[in-house]
Amino acid sequence: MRRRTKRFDDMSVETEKLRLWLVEWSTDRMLNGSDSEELPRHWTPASTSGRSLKSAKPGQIYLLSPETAALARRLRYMAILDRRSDGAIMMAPFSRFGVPATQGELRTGRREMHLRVLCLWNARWIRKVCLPAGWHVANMGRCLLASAMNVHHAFTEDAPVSCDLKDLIGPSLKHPLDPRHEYIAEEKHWLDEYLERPLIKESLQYVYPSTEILSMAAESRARYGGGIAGKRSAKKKSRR
Amino acid sequence: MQKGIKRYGKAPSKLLRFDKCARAGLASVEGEAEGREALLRLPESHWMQWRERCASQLCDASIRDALQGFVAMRFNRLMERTIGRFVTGAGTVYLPASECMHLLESFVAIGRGKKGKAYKEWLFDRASCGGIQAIEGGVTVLIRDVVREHARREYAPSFMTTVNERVQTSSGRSVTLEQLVSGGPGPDDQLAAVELQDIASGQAAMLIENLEHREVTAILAKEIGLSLADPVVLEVAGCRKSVLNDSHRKLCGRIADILAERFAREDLCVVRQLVALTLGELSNLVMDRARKTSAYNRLFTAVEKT
Repeated sequence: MRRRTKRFDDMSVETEKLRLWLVEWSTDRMLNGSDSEELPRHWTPASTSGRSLKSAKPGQIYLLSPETAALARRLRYMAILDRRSDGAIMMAPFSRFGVPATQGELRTGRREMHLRVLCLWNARWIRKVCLPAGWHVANMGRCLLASAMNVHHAFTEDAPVSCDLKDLIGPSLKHPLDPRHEYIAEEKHWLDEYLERPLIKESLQYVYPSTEILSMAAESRARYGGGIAGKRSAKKKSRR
Repeated sequence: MQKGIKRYGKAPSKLLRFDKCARAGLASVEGEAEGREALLRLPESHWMQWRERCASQLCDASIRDALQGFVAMRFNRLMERTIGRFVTGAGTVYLPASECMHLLESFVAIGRGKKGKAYKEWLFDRASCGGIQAIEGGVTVLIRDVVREHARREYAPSFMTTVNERVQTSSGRSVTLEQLVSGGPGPDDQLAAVELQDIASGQAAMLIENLEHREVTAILAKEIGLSLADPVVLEVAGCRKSVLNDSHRKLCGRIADILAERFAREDLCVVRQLVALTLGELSNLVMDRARKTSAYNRLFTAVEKT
């Protein structure tokens, strides 16, 4: 029965947190789709002035350069959380909202609009060959980095988060119809898409030309040799 | 990128209209039709100057006005589409052109250093294949973020979701905020509820044996919907309405004290819930007994008559 009371108090805090997040979510939904010209139809990524993150260190914050459509649709800031000896880097994106959505998101305490909430549930290890390019814009303090690692550990290991961080994380996600599922799917999708972009595969696999160029088997086509064989046979006939 | 400039050159009427709009700032925003807006283009040189000189305030006056007008037009249109729905008088959400630009430049930058202006690198890298259209599209993306932030800071309560208000989900169904937080009753909650109900039934069965006639009358009258000031109720109780009310109030207090003492180790909110459940169970028991007792028949008859 004691657990019920504690849960009651937690619920009112969680309700307030969720209410604030829903404000931002509903505004975002209203703003989405209000402009169709955010990215030109035939947009293709170009060379970037951003530097590769190969030399990035834990605690640094980068703005990713618009290498793909997903990165060009929005400013994407990433925090470097950890680095392995093989050059792989653990990165976590920042949320576009100012309020943490789930228990895997941490309020950073920063004032900047794009750096207020860190999405640790979406943190990934990125191999050296797949590292993106970007611009180093800021640094996280040691304390924030430690907090971020704590929340990340708690989220991945299903362990309790440190007491002093409880106010800084978002409300728990329980209901199957919660709009946060949609938000999570969106956020996960762009990073998945970015990490699955063909880099090494391109050099190993044969790239087929478009189907418009390749004619179907039953279609009439030019003679083998482009009619040269026909000319040769005509020459032979004339010699005879 | 030349494409944008050419387009700009081919349509002087649009240029004039836009300059007019930029000069007039806020006033002309309202008058512009939404469809025309997409056609308005600034020359790339304007944006390049903005990039080089860091802030719009440092640009040439004509370019500064044009840039501020461009940003203000989009900012105010987005504000109207979002916040305008919730605030009476859509015009009240409009901001002057210079303020819109100031919000954009201050909200999007990270810190005060040059590093914090990396968003401009992002903007122009993004535009290297898409021309002027990509620059303006990128600025719109930034404005959208600024509008969201401005709306959150200034207008959040106007579209705040209340606990019982229904939230639309992507599947088209709606749920309340309360349901989202609780996630619906879990197995633990159901077990606890059954446990509490059993305890309340047991307590009510013990308490009913010690009830006085006035107390039974008061409980029964409330249960069947009669006022404690009703003459029939007062006649059955054999006392004045103030005494009857007082005895009912004291009974509730006594039950609360008894349960608080018996369940002293439990949390206060659980005890409160138990008191409420016990009083409910007690009312049910009193009702059952009263039906079998002729002394209370007059109360039932009074209800049936009304």
